[in-house]
Amino acid sequence: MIEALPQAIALILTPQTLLVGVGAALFGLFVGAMPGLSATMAVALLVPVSFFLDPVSALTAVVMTTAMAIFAGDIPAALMRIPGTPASAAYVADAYALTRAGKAELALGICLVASAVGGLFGTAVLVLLAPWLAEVALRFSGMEYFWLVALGLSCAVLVAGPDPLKGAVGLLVGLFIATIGQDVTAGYPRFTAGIPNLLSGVSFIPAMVGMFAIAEILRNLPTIRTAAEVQRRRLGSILRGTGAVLRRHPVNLLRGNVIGTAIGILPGAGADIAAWISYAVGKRFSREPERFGQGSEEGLVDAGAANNAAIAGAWVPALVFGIPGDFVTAIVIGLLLMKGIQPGPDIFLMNPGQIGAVFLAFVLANVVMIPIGLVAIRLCAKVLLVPRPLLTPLILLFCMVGSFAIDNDPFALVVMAVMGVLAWAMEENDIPIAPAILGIVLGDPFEKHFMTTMMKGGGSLAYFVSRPIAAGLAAMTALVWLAILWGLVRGRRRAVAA
Amino acid sequence: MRLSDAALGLVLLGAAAAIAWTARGFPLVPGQAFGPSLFPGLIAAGFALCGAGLLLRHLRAGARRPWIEPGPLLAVGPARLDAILLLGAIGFYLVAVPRLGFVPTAAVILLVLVRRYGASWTLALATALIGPLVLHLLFAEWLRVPLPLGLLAALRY
Repeated sequence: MIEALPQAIALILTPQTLLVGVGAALFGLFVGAMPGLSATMAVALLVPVSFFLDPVSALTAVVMTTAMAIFAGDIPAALMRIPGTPASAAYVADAYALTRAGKAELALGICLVASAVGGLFGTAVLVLLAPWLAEVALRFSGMEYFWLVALGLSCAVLVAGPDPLKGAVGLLVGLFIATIGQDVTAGYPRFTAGIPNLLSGVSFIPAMVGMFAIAEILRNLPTIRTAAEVQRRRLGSILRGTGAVLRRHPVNLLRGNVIGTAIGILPGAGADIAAWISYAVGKRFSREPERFGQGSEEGLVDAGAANNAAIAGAWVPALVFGIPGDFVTAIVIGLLLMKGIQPGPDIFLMNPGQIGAVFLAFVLANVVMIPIGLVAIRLCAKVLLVPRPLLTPLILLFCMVGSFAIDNDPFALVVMAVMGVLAWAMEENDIPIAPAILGIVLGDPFEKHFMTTMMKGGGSLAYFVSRPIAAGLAAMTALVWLAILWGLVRGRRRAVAA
Repeated sequence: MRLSDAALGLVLLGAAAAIAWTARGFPLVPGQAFGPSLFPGLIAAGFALCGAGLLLRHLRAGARRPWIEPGPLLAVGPARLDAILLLGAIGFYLVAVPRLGFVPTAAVILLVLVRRYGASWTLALATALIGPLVLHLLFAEWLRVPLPLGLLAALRY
């Protein structure tokens, strides 16, 4: 990868890429700071615009937007007790408690610096791990890929939530949506209801815009007329005392980084789950667990670092295997395919410059996060006053134009609306969205590798585990399903006991 | 709209039956043992298993919840109307854009929704005037998305 560095620098240091990067950073800060608008929604809204950019600018925009949005979610968490994105929800009570105690600057400072450190750590893992994994993956055949995808999909069910049965339903919904359109072996149109627009399958970007943006708007509609209360006080120096806190809790910082990156790499789990788990682990090992939830600086360090570390971690499986590590990378895979770049181990051989540029974008995003974040914190009190009744219809309109713009096809709006209502209905019934997204993204490769392995082996299931790596991956998949079944049994016992 | 385990289980069993029934008709490529219907068949089996599991859970727990409950969006009249207007806006856009063009259609949608969602008339009017023009500049002029001009075509040419 080192050889590609000069090329990567040349790709990213163009005026257009830098300009796009700055714009995306501001956009990410705004969307992340607005309660009810998540980082994933920011990326979904960004895609129609990035469609018209060169690949490096587009990916830089995605990286900048996510990094900034996940940090910016901490700002309203500290100032209003409302997380700006779900990734800040784990420690909102602590951040706000510090604000109430007159230490808003400290809370925001910890969040900002921990975010940047976490982001840089995740980036380091991405840069070191991804090319190495890709070399291993170059030796994989369809059989190994089948098990890899199966493992990814199974992990998504495992981490999806308290109810594994509904997690499995979510996965099946996604896989079914992926079967719509011409099938991979014979080209026979399936489940298209005679609609020609569905022959090439459910258009990916409008579906994502629907599932992330429209569903989110629907979910937030019941509270649209309630205005939030902002802590309005002049803020002092943000970074004063932050360094001391971080030096006092080096273990928390490191642990948050490691947990965040690992959860990010895990398919189906992203920044929000990383923050929750890191926070819970931090509380478990803390000397003062009773302070968690009451303004614990440790909790902020643990979880604030974890959610930003997860962002970069999620790119590892996405780039190497084409298996998204979180929602944002699910959209990124769609974006890459749109640009004619096939995610997979070859990507490091075919596009080393572009991948290097993505790595640089990550470093850049987390370095500029501190100065940009400092300004954003000052402006935030004003941003939060933008009335939601005004913002929601504008976002709706943006979604409609954006979905249309991908193929210049009005049918995309129908896809967007249907998928939006579907995602909303699923969440209403506690059916998790994450496995469904993974099912949609991975359905086609999953079926393709399944069918080719079936045909090669003449229908013999033993053939699926006839190579050592495939057998190992199969065993891991089986273990994940054992864990899922265990959760099911345990959940039933708990229900009976209650 | 919240379904109980039993209702959701029945929905899933129905979906499984529908998928399996449709997939039954997918043709095999001659000379191959499996075809386009294999994978959907497996998905249908999965849906059926999950549906049966949910029904079983309902039976074991005993009936406590009503089968269908309205969630926060459907329980209250105003929120219901908000949601209908939101989805209606997408339908209106599809019907109106080819005739009226993007800017007038977007203006109508913004005026109605912004006002309905609780902003003042002044704010709604301002949004309806400025918003569509900004979106038009961004998408049609800068990104070259062919948004229909409609009524504005006469003005421009």
